[in-house]
Amino acid sequence: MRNKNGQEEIVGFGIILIVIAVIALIFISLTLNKTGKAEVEDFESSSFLKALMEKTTSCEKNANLVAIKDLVFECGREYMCSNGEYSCDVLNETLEQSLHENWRVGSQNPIKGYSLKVNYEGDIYFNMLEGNITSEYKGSMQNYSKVNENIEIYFKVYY
Amino acid sequence: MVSNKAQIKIQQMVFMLLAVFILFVLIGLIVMSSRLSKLKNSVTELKEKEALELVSKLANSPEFSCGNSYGNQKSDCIDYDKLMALKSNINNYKDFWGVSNIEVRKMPNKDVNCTFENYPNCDAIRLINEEMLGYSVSNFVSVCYKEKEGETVSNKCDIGKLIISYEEAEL
Amino acid sequence: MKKKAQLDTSFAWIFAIIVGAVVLSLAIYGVYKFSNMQRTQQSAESSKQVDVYLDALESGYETGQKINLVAPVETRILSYCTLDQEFGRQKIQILEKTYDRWTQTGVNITSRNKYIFSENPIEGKKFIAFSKPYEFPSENSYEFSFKIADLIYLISSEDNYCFIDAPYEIEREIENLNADNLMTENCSEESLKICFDGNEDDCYAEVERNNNGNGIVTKYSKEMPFDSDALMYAAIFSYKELYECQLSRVIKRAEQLTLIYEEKARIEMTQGCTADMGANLAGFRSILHEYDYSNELYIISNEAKRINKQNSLSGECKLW
Repeated sequence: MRNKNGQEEIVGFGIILIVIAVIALIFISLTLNKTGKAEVEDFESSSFLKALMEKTTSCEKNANLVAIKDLVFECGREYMCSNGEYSCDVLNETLEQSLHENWRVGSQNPIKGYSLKVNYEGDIYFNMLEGNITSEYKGSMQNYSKVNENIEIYFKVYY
Repeated sequence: MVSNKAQIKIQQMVFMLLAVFILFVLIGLIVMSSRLSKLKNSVTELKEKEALELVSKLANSPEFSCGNSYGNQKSDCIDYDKLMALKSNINNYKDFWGVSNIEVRKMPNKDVNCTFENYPNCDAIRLINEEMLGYSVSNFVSVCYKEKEGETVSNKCDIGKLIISYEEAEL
Repeated sequence: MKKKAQLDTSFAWIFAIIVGAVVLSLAIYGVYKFSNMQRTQQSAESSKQVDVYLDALESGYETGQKINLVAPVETRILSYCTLDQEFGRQKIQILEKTYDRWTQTGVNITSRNKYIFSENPIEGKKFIAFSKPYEFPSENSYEFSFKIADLIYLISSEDNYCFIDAPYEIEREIENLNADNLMTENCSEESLKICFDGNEDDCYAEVERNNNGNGIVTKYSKEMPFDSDALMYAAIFSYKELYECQLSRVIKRAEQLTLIYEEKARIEMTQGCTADMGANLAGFRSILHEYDYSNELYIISNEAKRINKQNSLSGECKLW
């Protein structure tokens, strides 16, 4: 019978090479995997809240448009805007609209819900919850003070 | 009959050495591609970190910030009028911030790009190129501008988004 | 008797040894090249990381931010400045001490938007970087000037600086930085003396500062005029050639910013603002364009005060 040792050795070696090549392909595909972006970055919720507070509204005082952070104080004092609108109505409308425009919530979306709470001198003046509350969230808080007046705003994004 | 045993042995040796050499080359390729991928990720990660820092700080850069021109001193506020002025001089600022493009959008965004003809009736200023290529990071900012209301000039501020795009490292 | 078998065996051995030696040499060469590449990568990463950490010093609302940079091994930082193109360039090179010698990789990280003032080189394992915003001076405290850039000061924690007889606001600023190697009292013998009243000997730097914040820093017998505390620190922590180069870069940036404000004035004209500032800024920009040397800083400062006053009187149409 012919000696086929050489052929057997080469076949064996070929099998080893194929196994290594398969392992290498799996290894390369794993190392090239990239991690995705977080749903909400740390700075996004606090930046949004800061920008929201500086947003001007349709309420006028002394020929200037009043920003939301100042409008909260005016609402607490039950101020009527120069154009006849009630400050608290303008505040509610502007806050709701701004939140809807900037945060899309839903079960299909990465953001599952958000909540915004505005306190004036300890009393809740605005409280909005949209979507669902989950155990993972990013939140921020801003507070502003004038003489004898204090407001606190809490914002949370659930994902 | 001439014995070919020696030739056969040499052939066997050659094949064996060739196979061992190919094995080492394959292992070497695996290691090199892994290292190259790590280096590429490392450079891309650093670029992303740079872009994230830049997003946080760009709004306070002299070319973007509101300063005291909209009432009191504001931080994280972008002067939209100044941004449009920057756009007209952007050729001098290519490669200045080390990113491929910067865009500032007023929210809600109807995707109307700002040009010198339609400003201020628009809501997105794209600074360096017309397209946002590569990866992008974004942050909320205040966007302020002057607007004529009857006979007076008013300061208006909206919520905006600052978007920075950067390209993946080429290696 | 034929001895084919013996010849056959020894030839195979020779062949195997030659090929083995070639493969081994290739492998050793590959490892050597690879380790060089790793060192280069590490140095480039460190340099880029420094660049990114220094980004954190671009201050917004806060002033005088400080960060600590800690290196794993003894490190040398070289800082260069060039004046090419519109904004010039800041270059940082980092060398690391391995096996008792400085590893020269020739890798430079460049940045167009940073202005770093330091001695060249600075060495150590810990470095301190802090920043101050630079803006042109105003006549009165209620007038605002526009910020031009954040100036970054980079020092080694191994160098101790002692501020002798510094004005109150400078002392407070140094104390608030809370850096172990920046002192205003109880200084050690080896510390570098920054003398403010001209009565001390053996000063590393002499500072003549007026009440309105301008003056001259004299170091290594070379004078560096300044018009604000930000530039004063820049002169103290760097040297003449770098100070002049970085100041030129800062003035180039001011020139571009002035051009932007001119265009902003034109845009806001369509919203009802007047164009008075635009014409004045064009004149200021040509003064900035003519700038050559720090001796001319007072010309710019005087004109800047006039421009700032005009801007503060523009009411709702303030440009900055």
